[in-house]
Amino acid sequence: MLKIALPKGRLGDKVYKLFEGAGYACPELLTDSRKLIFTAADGRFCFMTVKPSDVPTYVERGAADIGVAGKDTVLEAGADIYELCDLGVGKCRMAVCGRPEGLSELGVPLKVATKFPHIAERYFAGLGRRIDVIKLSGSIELAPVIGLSDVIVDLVETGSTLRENNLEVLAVIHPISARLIANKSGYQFKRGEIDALVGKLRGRERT
Amino acid sequence: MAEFFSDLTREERLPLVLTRLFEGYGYRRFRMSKFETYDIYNRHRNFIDGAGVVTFTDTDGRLMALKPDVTLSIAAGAGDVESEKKVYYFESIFRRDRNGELKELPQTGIECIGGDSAYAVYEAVSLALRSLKAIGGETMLTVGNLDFAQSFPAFSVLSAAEKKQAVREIGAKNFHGLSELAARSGVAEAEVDALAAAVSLTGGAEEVLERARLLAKNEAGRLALADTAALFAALSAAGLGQSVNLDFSLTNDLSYYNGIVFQGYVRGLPRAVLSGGQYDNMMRRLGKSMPAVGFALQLGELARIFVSEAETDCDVLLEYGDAPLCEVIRASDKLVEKGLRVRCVKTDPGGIRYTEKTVLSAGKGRA
Repeated sequence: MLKIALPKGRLGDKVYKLFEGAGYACPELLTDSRKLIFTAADGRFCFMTVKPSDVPTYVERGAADIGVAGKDTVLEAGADIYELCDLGVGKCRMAVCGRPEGLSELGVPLKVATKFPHIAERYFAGLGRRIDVIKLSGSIELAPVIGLSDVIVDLVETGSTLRENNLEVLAVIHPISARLIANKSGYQFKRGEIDALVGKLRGRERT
Repeated sequence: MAEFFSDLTREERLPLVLTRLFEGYGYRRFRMSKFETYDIYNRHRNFIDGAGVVTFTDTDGRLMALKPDVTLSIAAGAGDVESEKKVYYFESIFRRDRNGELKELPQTGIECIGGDSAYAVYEAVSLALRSLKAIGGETMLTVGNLDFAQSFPAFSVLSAAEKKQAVREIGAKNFHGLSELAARSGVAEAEVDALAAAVSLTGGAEEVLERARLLAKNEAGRLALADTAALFAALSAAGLGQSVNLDFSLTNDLSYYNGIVFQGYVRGLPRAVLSGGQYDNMMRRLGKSMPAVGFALQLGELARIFVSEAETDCDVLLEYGDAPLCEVIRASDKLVEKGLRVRCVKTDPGGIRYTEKTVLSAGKGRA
């Protein structure tokens, strides 16, 4: 049986529709159930719904054979997994944002507020800039407004939150979208099943 | 010996079977100290992923390291003469994991340095397959050839930093990301597609090789495929063609590895338990121009599949109550001599898993 980890929430609902369209339906998932595991009627596969940022962990450790995770969580987790296809949903950008003067060189480490410390560290290390990472879990945009940080590293979809807080995108780090990821060991033993699923999802993508 | 052997659990048997296997093909045991000077690991930090090395200072001020790797020590110690060095080892290495936690990782492996490359590579791959078989259960070895991807113009024109990124994307089967990367650096779309098609080939060797031959662009590519085909032909001639796949997305650090690389998986374990390949490039970096190949098997990872096996804690639970000590000893020794696993308790505390329970009562022996 193919074990599939889906992210809870808005992205998960969108992604489930893709799976449904590809012939992997499990209508129970859409009901207001408190269940976390949903097995298909024919027992071919099951879905588990987990916190989006945990999907790479479930997949890397083999609790799920495959899963759907945003490129942001894949990059942040740095997990040793296969990234089999870009599902093309949940599109946004990982970006450095702040006031236009936020990135100016001051001779002291740049203060960066973010939910994604690894991505921020890797990006600025690549530029040769020292940073002081401030890990936050929400309302990141507030940090540069009140002087907690010089800039932020965060996901930008439409940019309206930024504009309302007089912030702008200073540099795009990576385009983000939902990816189908797979456990490396699980793939060796279930390659047929997984490739078939990827083929069907890709087919849908084009139509 | 044979009698004892059958009493051992699968976990206890494995090192004996592997020792026999490696010795059988002419490998000698290699032993090393738990710590070495940090210098050598620092110079080759990419090979061993140097970030995780555990260091400490010696009394004379030298920076030392708990050994994070065995291959490098064997390779550095190999003589400059053309003679062949074949060794195997059972050693623990020490690393910090992604969260900075200190880990002891027991592993075994072989290294073959010098000698004829084609046979040595076959032998290493065949021993990897036989080692996986010795573990038991359903296993799979995936074999790749780094020279194939490198033969494509779309790969060879990339800068060193881009190549590193490309290797990461290929290893993650992120062909979409690979295409984006190559396109960004100005490679023509047709070339990018050819590379992506080549590294996405995976499956049974015959089928993959047939499709790969249609994609090979030049002499280097055809040569890589010929080497790979020869290896798989040798494996099936030896009756080892089962449970092995060809996967051109399998990669490793190009500054150390070259040619054939491979990884072994056990069903039910989430990570590769075995990894190896040719590392002529590392030998060159060490100033020795000779071919080398080897692999390491992570014994610690395997503990997980063996744990579930020991279904009982003992064969006989000997509950002796108020029986005199000499009676208890006589009864238990007799059972142990028969080859049974005996646990003596005054009263059954519960929770011990046994096949049979014997109760001694005062002055009577068996009740």
